[in-house]
Amino acid sequence: MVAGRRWRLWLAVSLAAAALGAAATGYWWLYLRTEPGMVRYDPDARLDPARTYSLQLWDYRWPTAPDGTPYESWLRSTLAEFGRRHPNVRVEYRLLDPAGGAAELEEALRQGRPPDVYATWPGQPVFYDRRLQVPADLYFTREERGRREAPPAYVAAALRAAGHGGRLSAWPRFLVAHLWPGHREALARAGLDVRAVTGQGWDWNSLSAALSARPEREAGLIVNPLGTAAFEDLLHARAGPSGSPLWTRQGVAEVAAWLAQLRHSELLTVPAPEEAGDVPIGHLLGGRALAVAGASPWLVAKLAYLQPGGPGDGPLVLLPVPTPPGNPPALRLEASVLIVFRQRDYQGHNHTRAAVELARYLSTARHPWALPGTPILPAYRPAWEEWRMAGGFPPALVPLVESSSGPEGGDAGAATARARHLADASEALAAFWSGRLDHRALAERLGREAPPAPPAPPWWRRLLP
Amino acid sequence: MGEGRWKRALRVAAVALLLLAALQVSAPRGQGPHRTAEARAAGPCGPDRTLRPAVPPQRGPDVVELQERLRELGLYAGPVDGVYAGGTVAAVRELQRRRRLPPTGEVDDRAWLLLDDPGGRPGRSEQAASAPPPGRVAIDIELATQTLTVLVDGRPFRTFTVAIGKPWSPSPPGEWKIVEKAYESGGAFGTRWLGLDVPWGSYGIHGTNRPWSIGRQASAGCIRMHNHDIEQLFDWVEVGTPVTIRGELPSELWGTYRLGSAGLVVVALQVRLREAGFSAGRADGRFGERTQAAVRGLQSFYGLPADGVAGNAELYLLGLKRPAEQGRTGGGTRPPLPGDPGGMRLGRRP
Repeated sequence: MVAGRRWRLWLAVSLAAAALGAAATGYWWLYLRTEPGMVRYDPDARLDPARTYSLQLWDYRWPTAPDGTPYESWLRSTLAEFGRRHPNVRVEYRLLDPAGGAAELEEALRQGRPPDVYATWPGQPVFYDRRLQVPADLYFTREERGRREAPPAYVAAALRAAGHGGRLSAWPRFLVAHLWPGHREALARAGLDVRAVTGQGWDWNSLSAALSARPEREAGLIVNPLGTAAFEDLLHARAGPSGSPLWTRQGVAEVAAWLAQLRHSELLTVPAPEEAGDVPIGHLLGGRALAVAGASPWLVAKLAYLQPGGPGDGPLVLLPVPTPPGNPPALRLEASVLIVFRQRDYQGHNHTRAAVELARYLSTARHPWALPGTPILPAYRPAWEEWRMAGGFPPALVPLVESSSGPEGGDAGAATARARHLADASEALAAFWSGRLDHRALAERLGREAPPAPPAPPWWRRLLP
Repeated sequence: MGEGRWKRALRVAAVALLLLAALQVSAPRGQGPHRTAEARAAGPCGPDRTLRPAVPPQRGPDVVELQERLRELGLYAGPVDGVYAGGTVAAVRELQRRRRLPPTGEVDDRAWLLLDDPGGRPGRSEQAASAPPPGRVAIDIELATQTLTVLVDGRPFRTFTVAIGKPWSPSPPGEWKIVEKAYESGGAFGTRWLGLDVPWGSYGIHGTNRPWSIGRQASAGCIRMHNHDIEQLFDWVEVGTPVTIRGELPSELWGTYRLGSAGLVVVALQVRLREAGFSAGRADGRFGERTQAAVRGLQSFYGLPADGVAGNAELYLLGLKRPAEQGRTGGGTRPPLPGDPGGMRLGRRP
């Protein structure tokens, strides 16, 4: 009898210990998955069918896509489809002006009232506020994360670009590749094998040789004198796909010296800033330039669709940016992501779930600008596969989209510092292009000492999903 | 002059001024001042001149219109050459005789009415004169079908058949507003005139003394309606009522367009900017600040110099220029343009 009682007692104690242990483990796991000082998340929360959720979506006022799809009507129909899937979720959208949208978001964050979902302009920060931003990885399903037998739902470069500080901060939407548009026939006339250039990449020497071999009347390589894109492309190609710092003194010096040499040999055409639209477009479409460096990806996408034959079959070809000899091909990407925010007046886990579902849905819907044959790539893997099969994208760069070695997305602080630096760089480069600043002075002005390597993340970070 | 007489004179002058001011306020806009009538006379849709047998003979599109009408009535079989002489004068005299009028051969405002066919009026609208329901009234004119539709809150309320401009003096496609309402005496403008804010001429919607022309390309660019139709419409609209004229726009532009530019080419630019997703406001043919901001938006987006001036690159991106015309830098292959080979249209009513 006594032995029987002891057995029951032991069983009860063991069960209690197991329950306590499980609770502690669960708490520990939740603790690890929650940033210090942050409110808790409940990724298991579901939509309550008896409740109506009202979401605010902030997106940008995108121009009509090159294939003629007006952005707002596309967004309306996409949201209507979302509404059919989630009848109790109402979405109000607001289209921001690209020039002032970032400031509006920052103001809304200061007031603690950001939109539920914010679709970033490419290149904007992917991380803003620990207290208000909902980490995407907490809500990723097993399928989205990828398994041994199936890759993640988004291409690796997009996941990398949507991450910050080792976590996935947002839902990837699309990627913008900085490529140089070239003229197929003009490149061939200069002795370049276009298929080899797009299939394996090219280096500074092969570009210089082609520029020297081109017919005399042709403009060679046209450099966009506005902004920093052309120079940044080359810096990035020099730094390689590892995402190491671009604006180092040595990097700026090398790129500037190479460009100065090309210019000295009259292989470069740098139009006056006021002709930075007419000259590249006219020469490129007329087949009187090999390629244009630093053209806006949106301009490249539009020209691809305006050319005779349309994208892929027309005279325009998308080229990788040439690298210094010996470097592997490189790809400069910017990402547009969907960020889920919660408000200071918290509306509950179910509301957050509704916002997550909207971000997820929009991340899988193909953005109207992510058209095959343009430098705008869908981030959602099924759409990417289809996009890639349509052709037009340099095969040499495909592995770079599918590898996760690119840079992570930035935060708001880094974006402000970068904007300040780019404004300064833009001014210095204008002086460089106009001949008022030589390549040594440019390197002196813009080059920075390479920053020390960032500290390794703590060991427990590796345990996180 | 005594003080009392001065005071009386001042009082009379003050009363006269007040009366004048009251007259100015109470007169329908555009009806009172002669300035607007003069402006109309100077525009493409001016009042009729009187045609007279003369040496040298009078010539012009009004003579062409007269000859065409006389032919339709079986009174004239000569050439439609726009010369008011010989057989044309004889036909007018014959008509005057038939209508028991002195056969002077002169065709004035009233004489045009003699050319109406008493047997029937082509394209005449036979619709009830009920007022539109409350709501925002707008006018939508489709040049392809020669119809004018009154919209209330975007929904069609009444449709009238109208006459539009001839192919060589077309009605101006664009998004206009009524800026003037005036009563007319029954001449070329019929009984009512609704002036539009077209920046390159005095265009309007008006009645007519040539009712047979309704349903045709017959005017110098204005929109003609039957007098009884314009009289209804006149009561339904206000100064400021929007008027959209839908029709062909230039599909290719030359030159550069900047703040202050105006014309049909600017309408085409504004429409294309809007289609491209850069709102330039109303397509009113005036390159104002909104249009400039839209051009700047396009330039910023595509990485062009953001100077707000639409030149070769901008026009090409908007599908309004071929690269062969890209000035000193252009040439080479010619990509097809949206709307090529035909012209573009100020879109259909949704």
